[in-house]
Amino acid sequence: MLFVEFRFLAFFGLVLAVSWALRRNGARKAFLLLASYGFYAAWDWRFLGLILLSTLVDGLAGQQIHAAGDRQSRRRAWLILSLVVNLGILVTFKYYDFFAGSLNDLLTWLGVGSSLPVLNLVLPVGISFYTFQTLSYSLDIYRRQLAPARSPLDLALFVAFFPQLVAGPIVLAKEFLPQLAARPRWGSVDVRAALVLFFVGFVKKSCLSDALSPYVDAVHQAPDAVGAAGAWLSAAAFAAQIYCDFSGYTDMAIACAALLGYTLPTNFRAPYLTRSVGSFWTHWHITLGRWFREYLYFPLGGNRRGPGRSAINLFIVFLVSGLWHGAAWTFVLWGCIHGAFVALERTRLGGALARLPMIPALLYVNLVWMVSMVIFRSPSLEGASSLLRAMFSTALPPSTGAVPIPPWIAPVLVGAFAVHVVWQRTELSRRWAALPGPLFGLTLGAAVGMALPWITADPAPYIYFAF
Amino acid sequence: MQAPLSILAFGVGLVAVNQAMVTLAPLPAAAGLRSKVEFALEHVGDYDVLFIGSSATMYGLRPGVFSEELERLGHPGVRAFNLGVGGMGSFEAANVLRKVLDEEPARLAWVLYEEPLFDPRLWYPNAYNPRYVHWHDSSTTIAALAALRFSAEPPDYKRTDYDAHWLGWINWRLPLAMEHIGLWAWRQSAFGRGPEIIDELLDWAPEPLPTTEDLARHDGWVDIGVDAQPGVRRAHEDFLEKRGEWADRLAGIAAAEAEAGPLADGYDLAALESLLEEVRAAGAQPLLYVAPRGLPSPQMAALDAQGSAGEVLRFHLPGRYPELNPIELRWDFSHLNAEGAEVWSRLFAREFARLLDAQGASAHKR
Repeated sequence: MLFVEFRFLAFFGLVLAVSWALRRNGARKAFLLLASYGFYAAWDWRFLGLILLSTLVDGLAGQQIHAAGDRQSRRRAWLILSLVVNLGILVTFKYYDFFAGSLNDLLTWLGVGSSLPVLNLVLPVGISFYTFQTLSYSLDIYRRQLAPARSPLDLALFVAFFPQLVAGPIVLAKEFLPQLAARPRWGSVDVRAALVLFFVGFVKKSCLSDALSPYVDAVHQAPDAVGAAGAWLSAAAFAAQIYCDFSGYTDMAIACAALLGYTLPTNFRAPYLTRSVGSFWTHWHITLGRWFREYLYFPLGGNRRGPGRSAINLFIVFLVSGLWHGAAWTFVLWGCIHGAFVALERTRLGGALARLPMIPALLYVNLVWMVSMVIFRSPSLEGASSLLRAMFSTALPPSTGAVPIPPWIAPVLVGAFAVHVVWQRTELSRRWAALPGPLFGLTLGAAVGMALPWITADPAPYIYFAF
Repeated sequence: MQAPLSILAFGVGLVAVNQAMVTLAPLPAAAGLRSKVEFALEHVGDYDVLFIGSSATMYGLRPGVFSEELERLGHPGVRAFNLGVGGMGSFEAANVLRKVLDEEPARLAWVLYEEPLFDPRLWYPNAYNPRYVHWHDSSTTIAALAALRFSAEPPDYKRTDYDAHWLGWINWRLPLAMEHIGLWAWRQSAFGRGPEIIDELLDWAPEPLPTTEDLARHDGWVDIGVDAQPGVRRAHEDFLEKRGEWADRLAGIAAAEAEAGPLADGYDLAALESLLEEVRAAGAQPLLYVAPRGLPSPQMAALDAQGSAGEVLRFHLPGRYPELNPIELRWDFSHLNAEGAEVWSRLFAREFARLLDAQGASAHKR
């Protein structure tokens, strides 16, 4: 059930009406939990068990860590249990086949016969997101930054809350659990701002990302069938597509949560307008960066042990971040590239980059991003290599069988650029939501009417659902 | 008071912009629909006779030959236009015809309408395709829903889908009715039609076929052998392989029509009468015909026998029109080639002249 499907709109309308009709906070939370499980079961009910197991283990671990007081070994044992179970599920479903396959390849290359079994498990949607959320719960209790949830219901709702369940933003327990303490008040919901945010997210995903996706898919299916222009255009199109897809999803997630009375953290702040790769990562998928900073970079030592160790720590973070995105060598390489650039920017080169005028700085960041995203998007290193060769050669597309460039790709890219720059820079949503009621309604209705022709009847799944 | 007003304003904004978008959305280009209808709407005032029907008409009737033969038979100066479109059934044709008649064509005297079966079944596997959406305006949708009661069986390959539908256990026509209503709803919005609108506004898409120049040169007739599309070519190859079956098909027509029951059992006569009335209201005369496709048409046989729509020219009857049957005149089982089209057009003109003479009527508007 995608946010841009009519059945989701019907589902959400029903959930919204019933949740606000329920007077008691407990009943409301129980209903939202059931709705969240129903939402997830619409993907695949079998994987609900994993969410329940994760919730159960973290609930128990959180209680026991807290109850252990100063008994450090007992606290550590319960934390390890939480980490083993959560990461064990993640590794089994997401990474086992990758590591087994890679090991098989290596051993075969070395001449040692090997046949580690490949499980071919289906990847449960959203597993990377909710695993990180539940880990934040037990880790924060261990670090004494959070008390255990007041009830299992609160913890279960924090893990499964449907607006952010399958693709974030990655919410930390310490910022969401306190919101469940009391029933939200309808009067405190900024309905107009939420409606505008939902609409903008809808347009980003359904009208822009889905319009770009067929061309990008076609190029990556036949990387040898494009020339330099086609390869660059496809790289630009994918950069626009993934921004519109992911930020569109999170806009709608934040808007849905807001309409239900809860606040989710911001996940994007005009990343393509940043002037360094390091800064980019504080504007793109902000909640993932925050999670890695708090739970990996700082524990590794952060920048406390000197610039050299800091660079190594950053590189490790980005390597793991690459793997978080997917179990493939393309993601590992992509993570390494970003780690290398961020580490490099900590050297004197970074100082030189910081002095660059705006346009060259923007070009630098977007060039690094577009080129690295060719690797990210490619199904294999060979495919990525073909496209990168095409980008940096003067080759013309093949005379026959070339992937045609659709004429409407230019206006869609302009649209994506406009959403990115104009929208985020001019705070249009705030100004729009501040219009007098009837004028707001009229303009929103007209905007929906303008968007309708660009909505696809057969939306593509969100790119980040695969992670 | 603010909230209801805002909701009302939202509805007004949405409906107004959506309606503007709907008017900008072009007709589907497939099978010659867009270019032929747009040409007809612009030029229908120049014609005395309009043929309207399926691909059998589009490929099979040459207005130039038809006019030439009429002139030879004492009816000079008749200009005809062929508004046949590939895959166009009765409801789509009625919808298109209504658009044309709305132009109040000053000269149009005759509408020659191919086999109005008024079959409301949706035969394409994907019912929600642009070709079905465009004709589902309110009146045509109501007419299609009303005609459902005359359909005895669902299309075979849709039977399972209809049975599995949540309303299918009551009656298979209910899921079909839901499809019609869904198509109507879709027709009311410009949902998903942005690329077409932009292509049309900015003139980006290649000119749909047949081109305006070709339409003007041949008055709507399309030579099936010139630039045949892959599907048309495949049908031709298939015909060449199985040409021996042609004689069997012809032989089966009379028997199939003899077995057919009375008209009232399976035909929406009210829809036909309404269509004929609309044609007459526009100052033209209707005449029905069946194309020589090697298939029986029991409803048209019964309608012809009943006589309520006047004489039906049944060119599919091999005994009555043997000159249309030689295999070398055919492109495939359903269509005549250019040579066959010439033969049929002359024959049609002769039958039309016979009717005019018998009725003391004219091919021109009086």
